[in-house]
Amino acid sequence: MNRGISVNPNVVVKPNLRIKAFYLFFIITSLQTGSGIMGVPRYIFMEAKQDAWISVLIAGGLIHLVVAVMLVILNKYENADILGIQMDIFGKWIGKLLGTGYIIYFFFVLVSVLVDYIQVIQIFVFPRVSPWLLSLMLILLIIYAVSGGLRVAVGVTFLFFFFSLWLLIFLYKPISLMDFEHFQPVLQASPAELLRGARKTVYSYIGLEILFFIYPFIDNKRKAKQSAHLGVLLTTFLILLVTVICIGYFSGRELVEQIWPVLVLFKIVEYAIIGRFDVLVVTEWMMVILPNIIFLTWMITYSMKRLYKVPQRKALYAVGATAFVGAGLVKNEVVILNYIDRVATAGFWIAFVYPMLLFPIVLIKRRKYTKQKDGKD
Amino acid sequence: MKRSKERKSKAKEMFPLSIADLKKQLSDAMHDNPDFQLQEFQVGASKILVFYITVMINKNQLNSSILSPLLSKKNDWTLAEIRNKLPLGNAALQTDLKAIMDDLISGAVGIYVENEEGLLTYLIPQQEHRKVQKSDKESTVLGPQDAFTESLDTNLNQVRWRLNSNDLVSEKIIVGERVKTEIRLMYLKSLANETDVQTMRQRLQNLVMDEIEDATPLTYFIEDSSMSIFPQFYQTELPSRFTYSITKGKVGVLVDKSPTGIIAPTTLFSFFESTEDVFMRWNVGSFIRILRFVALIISALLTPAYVAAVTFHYEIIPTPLLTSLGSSRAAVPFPPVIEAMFLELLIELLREAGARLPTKVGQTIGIVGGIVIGQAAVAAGLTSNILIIVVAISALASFTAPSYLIGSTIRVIRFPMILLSGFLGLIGVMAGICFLVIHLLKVTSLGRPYLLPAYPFNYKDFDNTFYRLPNFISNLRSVSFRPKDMIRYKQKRTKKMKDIDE
Amino acid sequence: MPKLHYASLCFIFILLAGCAPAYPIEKLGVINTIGVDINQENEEMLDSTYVFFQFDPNANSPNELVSSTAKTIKGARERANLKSNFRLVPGKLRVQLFGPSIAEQGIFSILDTLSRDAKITDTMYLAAADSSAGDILSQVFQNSTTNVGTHLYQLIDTNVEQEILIRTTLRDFMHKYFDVGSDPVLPLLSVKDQMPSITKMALFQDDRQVGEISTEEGFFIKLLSGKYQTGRIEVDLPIEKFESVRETETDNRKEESLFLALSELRSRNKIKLVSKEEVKFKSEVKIEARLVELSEQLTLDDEKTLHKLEDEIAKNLKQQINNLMAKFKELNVDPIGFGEIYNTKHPITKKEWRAKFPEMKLDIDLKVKILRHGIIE
Repeated sequence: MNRGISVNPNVVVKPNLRIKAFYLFFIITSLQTGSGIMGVPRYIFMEAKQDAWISVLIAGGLIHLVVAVMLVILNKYENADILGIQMDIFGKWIGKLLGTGYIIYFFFVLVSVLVDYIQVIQIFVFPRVSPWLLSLMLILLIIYAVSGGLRVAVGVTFLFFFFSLWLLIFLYKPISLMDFEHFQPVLQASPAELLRGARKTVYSYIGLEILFFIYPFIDNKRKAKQSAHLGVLLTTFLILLVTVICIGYFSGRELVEQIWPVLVLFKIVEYAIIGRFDVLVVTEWMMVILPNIIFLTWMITYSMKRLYKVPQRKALYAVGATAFVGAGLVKNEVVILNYIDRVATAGFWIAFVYPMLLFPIVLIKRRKYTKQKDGKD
Repeated sequence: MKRSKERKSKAKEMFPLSIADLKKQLSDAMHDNPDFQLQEFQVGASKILVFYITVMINKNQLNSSILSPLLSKKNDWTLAEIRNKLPLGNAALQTDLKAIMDDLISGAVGIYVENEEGLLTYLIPQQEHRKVQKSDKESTVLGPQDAFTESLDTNLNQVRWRLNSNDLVSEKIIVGERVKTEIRLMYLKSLANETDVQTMRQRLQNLVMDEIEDATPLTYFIEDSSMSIFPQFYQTELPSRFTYSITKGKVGVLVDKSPTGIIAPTTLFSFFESTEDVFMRWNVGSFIRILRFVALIISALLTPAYVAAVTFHYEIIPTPLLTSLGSSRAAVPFPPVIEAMFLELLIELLREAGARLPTKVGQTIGIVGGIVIGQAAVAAGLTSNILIIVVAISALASFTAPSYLIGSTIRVIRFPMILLSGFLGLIGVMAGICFLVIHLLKVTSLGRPYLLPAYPFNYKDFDNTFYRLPNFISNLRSVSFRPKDMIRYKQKRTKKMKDIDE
Repeated sequence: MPKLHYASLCFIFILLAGCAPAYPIEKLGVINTIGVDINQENEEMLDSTYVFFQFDPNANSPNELVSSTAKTIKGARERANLKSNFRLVPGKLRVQLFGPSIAEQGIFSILDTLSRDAKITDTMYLAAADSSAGDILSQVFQNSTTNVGTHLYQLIDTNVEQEILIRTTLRDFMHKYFDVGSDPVLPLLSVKDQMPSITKMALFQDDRQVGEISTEEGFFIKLLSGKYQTGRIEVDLPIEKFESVRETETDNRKEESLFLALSELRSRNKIKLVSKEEVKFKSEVKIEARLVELSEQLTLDDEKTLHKLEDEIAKNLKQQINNLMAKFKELNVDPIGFGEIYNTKHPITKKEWRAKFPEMKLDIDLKVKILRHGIIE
């Protein structure tokens, strides 16, 4: 019914707000390697055993496919994001509804990342610190960063990527203690198990949706494709790296017991000047998750502004307050793991299956549209 | 020929008038200032009035260049003749009382021939100021040692002399409602980015204030974000540094009566650059520059790390250190935060006292404070001796910054960091670091990002920012500031590798 | 901007109210060694002995010893806390010592508790004792001239660094314990002349101590399961085979055997499963070493003599390995990890491997190469 008043799906972005495609690489990698990567080897291993690395590769391949599909969808429009596209395809109201779905989903992801990190701090560093305090601290940082707009969010992502990259160097120690017999015999897992393992990798790949939102802001769109794919490639490499190290380093039964095997890997690192490394890693991990939560908050507030014309600053305070309460409330370990698991499942459907479903619809709809436009001209 | 007195109120109609009238008007405008001198001469048929403020002018020049030629002639003087005959070039014909007053206070001599249509002013000011001296705020080992003085003329002279090119533009802007101060906006026409120049010009011109104390307070009025703790314009008293920046395409500002030059746009990293790095060999220069960045990290984080480790994270302290740290801490009755705050405050007190006192006394205070109080504090069980080392290192590190402003910024940042580490250990420190990074991302200098070239990322600018490369590799100006001409010089050296013994 | 002020004020207040509980190090008793035994009167109770650093400016030594009895290892720590005026913390635990009573019953439950605690480092050493662990610790405590807390740790650590002992950290033990077809080994401490020394290696079947071998025999475990970088070994060969090259005029001792010491020993090994049915393995070991000591003067300029010497050493080592293997089979422990190799080809459970292990056969192909023999020809 609303087709009469056609909604313009395109976004007009001021030149000084645009970002280079170069940064897309860092944005995608940083968002994907958030808190998920701390625990993901275990989940993959539980499904695919010593062939978990194959699962990672399969998942990586599929993600590349999803990225390609997302880019095709986005390129069917001049300068649109997913919110505009949904309104264009499903009409204003359903489009808004789906957009709201995205907002809610992002909010739950945001809370899950917060809760996960707070729990890690509590277990590894401060067993008795109040989760409220930690969640307040993180949320104030988020609010401060997001109020600086996209430029600051991208900057944080870019700088923190390098600030946390050096952690990888210290993986040499667990690598030197790897037991390559753990990988044999190869290909014991059935294809179904491998696929299930690939699906478990998904929580780590969550964050790809950013492409749907940030695409209109990219200045040189021609390079976006390369950047996005390279970003996913790096994520796949990182997940593959930690999975391989975890399989080699831990015995099978040991790995299944570890909730954050990647953090435990660092427990073996010890130097003359730093007695323990895992405390430092947990601390440093803040730089890994901050870009994540900052971008999630940016996407939520930006979507709220775009869908409901809520001033972004007000939306930011509201989201901050709600996430603060959300992250402070969840305390039970089982509840947290359960909750994260559900978010991961939702992520699988929203981030990876949904673009695939959207793809044919957009193709059909936009083909007509472009023809009409050509006719007019 | 006499005009009615009623008309004198309006300046335009002031001239011509009689000497007596002029005298009265001038004395009124000067509020009967005792330094105001009016001398009347009769040369031939013409009556001449010469007037000036005695303390503002060069008396030798007055005698030799104005009075002697003026009185040696026998026949009548006209204004045009004075203009031609007097051996001074900067004559200005004034008809407006206010303009005359402005000239007088800046050190001009006024000459009026009765019944002429205007009067002449000659600027022969004598400003007492110190000689060009060695800089003691930003001392360098290598390179030029001279520093700016309080006199704009001297400063301009120093800059012009270094950049003897007609490309150097120097725009004059007057700021100040009550006390007017001359400001010079300087840049190289063929290099400086026009947006930067325009922004700076705009900010200076739009400035409405009573008076300017100095260049440093001026920056607080024209900088991008007053809330930030980080300085956004580089301030230097080294003409070499000033001209070096201008030749890199930046915009410089000189303020009269101030020994400080302002350079913009600046980045955080340029505060750790010293002109000395340029005089060093590239590899040594790189080492020193990287050392300063390490010093920055040490200075901001070492004490907080100590507090965090000792308060919360005993497990990251290596075992041999743990025993010595533990036994030195055991005698201290305060929690580590208080202990660290106490010592940091002590160091700040010493620094402040040393800076305020005369040099010789200051040194003594430094030694007394550093050695005696430190020793006594340990002996009295107020602090642990390891913390003394930690605090001393971080204080030392904070003084390696070539810019005094950024050094003080870092020292101030340390205090909230120590508090955070005392409350939340390393997590608190990390949150503090994250906050600082986010903050730095938000800061701009003349509208340009403060963290250039780290973000927005510009790999080409990494040399000359974080390190230096040999000249045959690095021949470009900073890309980030978009100068009009990128290439500093053509690369001439052949890149072809010779084989051994050829 | 005033909003920002209020926000930061609130932040500071919450920080003050909710800051993490601080335990400055001077209030801590930092445990560095724990000895565990089973209580002699009550089989259900555990005796724990703690050596910890305490920081008192008036004390001569920073070390203190406390023991307690409780049902669980954590409970014992709580009890011990009642006896100490410092808060006992385990974050710098370096050595965990097990008395024979508990080692024979199984130590997994204790190790599991340890490895679950994020504060405890994975690089701590485990060791078995031939008398009560508590006794050994109190002996060290009374008689050590150096720092008591680090005495045991350095005793084990220096020997591990010199490759005299096998690395037996918590991580290594757990790894071997969880891996199918390999059993852990621990150094066995005993008190000699009132000071502890490592005399033997304790063999574990899963987590139970079932036997012991000498440290010399321990050499072969690493020879077959790992690599030596700078190992050392002493060999005694029958003298009659070298009668021809013996320089009798210089030394007239009547010895029955020729002792020689090899140092800077580098080794490589490869174990292959030759036959699944027979459970037959083939091991190829290559040793390169420097001859540093000979009990008799031999003329070694001749290449032939050197080869003969090498062959004799190889033969001797082979013999020792076979003896050791017989011992392993008798005890049914597999510290070298043949089962792991079997498992890579034919997945097997722990139980199945226990049944198979005594029947396994090992074919050793051992080559010794002497690189240098001192600076004198």
